[in-house]
Amino acid sequence: MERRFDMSDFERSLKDHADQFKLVPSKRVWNGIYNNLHPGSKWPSISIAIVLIITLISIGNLNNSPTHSNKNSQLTANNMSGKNESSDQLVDNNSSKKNVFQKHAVSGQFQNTNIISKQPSNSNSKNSFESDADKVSQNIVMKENNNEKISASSLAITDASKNNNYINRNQISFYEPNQEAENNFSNEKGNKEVNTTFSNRNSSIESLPMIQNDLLSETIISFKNEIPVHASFSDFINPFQILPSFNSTVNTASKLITNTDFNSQKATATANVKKIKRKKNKNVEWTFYAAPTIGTVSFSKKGNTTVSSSNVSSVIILPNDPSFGLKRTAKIGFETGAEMSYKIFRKFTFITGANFTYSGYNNMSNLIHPTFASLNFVDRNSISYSKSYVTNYGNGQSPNRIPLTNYSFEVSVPIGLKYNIWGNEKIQINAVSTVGPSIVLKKNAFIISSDGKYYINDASLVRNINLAGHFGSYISFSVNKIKWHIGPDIRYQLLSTYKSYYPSKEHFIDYGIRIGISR
Amino acid sequence: MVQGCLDNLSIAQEALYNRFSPRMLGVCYRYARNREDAEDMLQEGFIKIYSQIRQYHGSGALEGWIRKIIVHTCINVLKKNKKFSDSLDLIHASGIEISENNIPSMLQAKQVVECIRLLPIGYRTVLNLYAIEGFSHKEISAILEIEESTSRSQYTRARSLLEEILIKKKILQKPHETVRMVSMSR
Repeated sequence: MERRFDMSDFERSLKDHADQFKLVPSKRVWNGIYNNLHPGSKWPSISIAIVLIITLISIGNLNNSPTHSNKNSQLTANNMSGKNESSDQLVDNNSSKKNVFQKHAVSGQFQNTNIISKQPSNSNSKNSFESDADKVSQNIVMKENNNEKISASSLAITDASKNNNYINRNQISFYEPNQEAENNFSNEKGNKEVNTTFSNRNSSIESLPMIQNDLLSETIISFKNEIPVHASFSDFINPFQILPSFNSTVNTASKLITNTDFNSQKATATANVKKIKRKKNKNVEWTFYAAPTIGTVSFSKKGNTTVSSSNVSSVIILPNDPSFGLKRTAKIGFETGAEMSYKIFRKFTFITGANFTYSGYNNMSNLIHPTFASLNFVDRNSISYSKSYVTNYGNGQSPNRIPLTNYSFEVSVPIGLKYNIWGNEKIQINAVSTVGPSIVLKKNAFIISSDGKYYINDASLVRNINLAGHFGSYISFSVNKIKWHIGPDIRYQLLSTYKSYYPSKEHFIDYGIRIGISR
Repeated sequence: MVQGCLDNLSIAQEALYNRFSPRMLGVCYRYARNREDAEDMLQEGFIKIYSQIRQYHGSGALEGWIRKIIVHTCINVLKKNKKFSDSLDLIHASGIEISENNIPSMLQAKQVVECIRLLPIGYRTVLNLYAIEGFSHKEISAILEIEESTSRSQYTRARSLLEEILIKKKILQKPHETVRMVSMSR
């Protein structure tokens, strides 16, 4: 038939109203167009993400720096040194051992800290501790009496408890090894505040090759027998402008067709344009997932426990010592979050998102009468010290066992890659590996005492920032426009649960089945 | 703006997009199954527009040229969909009376578009191309790769069904016994 010039009122009205209809597209559309037109401009954001990860890892390391303990130790050394020659004779020429009694309520109970440090003394220091030097000297661990160090420390606590008049405010120092680390953290945050300036979008690409117009070519082919090539595109909107009357339509069109060297125009256009691969915005995919997990734990010995000073290394006992006969059971946890994937290469997909993880395990314990228990720590400088707690949890060797749950609830930003092992549009098998920093939102920790007899509750030993790796293999398939992702997932906590001065590494390992959906 | 797009300036590209995207999304929306599909069509169409803008010589309205590419992008997307092809094959012309007397007077744009979207995809596409875009049945048959008679019958049924919908929705007033309500049996 004919070009449309005979629109009825119905059709005209439909056209008028349809043309008035407008919809505001979402931001996603322009982002997809922009990323397609300027593919290079997404690298700055990826670079920023990498810098952010490195920063977080650095912060994680600094977060566990116990350098503040050295300052406290130094302060204590200043308080104690040069006061009593007799006490100096008891200790090594370049070192002295000090006890700082710390008394403060923890959950209605007293918590005692016993610090054994090895620092050079400062003879110039003057303080109010002079008159108590003899008393304090009782608490000093003798170099030649290493085996009795814990006993001596306990004795010191007892003596100090009995004689409160030996301790005034000047001598009480609270040992907070992570305080400086936290300061460092805040400083780092301040210093590394990024003024994110995205690179000039215009300058990121010099030029883009033109795209071969497949669509237009097809269109031209379809219309080549009817449409004048030199007609403007707007002519299609209003067919009345193209042909003035029905009778002249066929004749005019025929004349135009005969005068048109369509093939030569098409060839010229084809020669002038280059094909580029068009990346669909569907490269970006959001997946929401959840995974029931079973949380387990593994322990390993830290390297610095082997280089601890000779007189304290014997007190470093690890919680995974088989002689303790401890029993731990797995605990059900969960993992949930949102994952954004962006296809970067043919089979590789960049992955990031937000992930919430609850993970933990149970320590089998038993209730006992409140008693003192101690934990030994080693700082970076191989300086060992102990910390006393009051606890009413035994090591679970008696019949009436109760579970003590060690857990952490974390939010993390995993970043990684997904590799398409096999698949087609409907079903795929992918392998995924991510790593990401995590912030511990909630935590609890029961730690076996150094003698292996008691469990001590001290959540402050748990790191606030950690790093976790995910490994999994998922099968993805589409059902009713919804893409399902199901497969095994393993989460391994890369950094130890506890801060660096705890002489054992603990790593959570979660095994789960991840179920995710995307559109 | 066009020159900026030729120079691959993102500011000009964004300006062009901001100016024409709402209306073009309205066009896509009439062809698509849902808004997400419409946005995908719009995105694909604009990528083609930017890549082919050298072919626009300024001889006609820019909006018309953009609209043409958008419409053909929509058609290409639909043609990739197997259900669309099936829906076209199912249609056969049959005697359906159409009355020209029922002129919609109080049509609201959104209501009309939503009513159009209630039509089956095959009907809707032909109706869009014929009634709104102004293509002839011959052109439609070439674009959709169907018989010209199929295009006619599709349009006839589409229009009849649309009228029925518009009357049911009380957007279109039923004239005095001039409209035969045609029950569509598929």
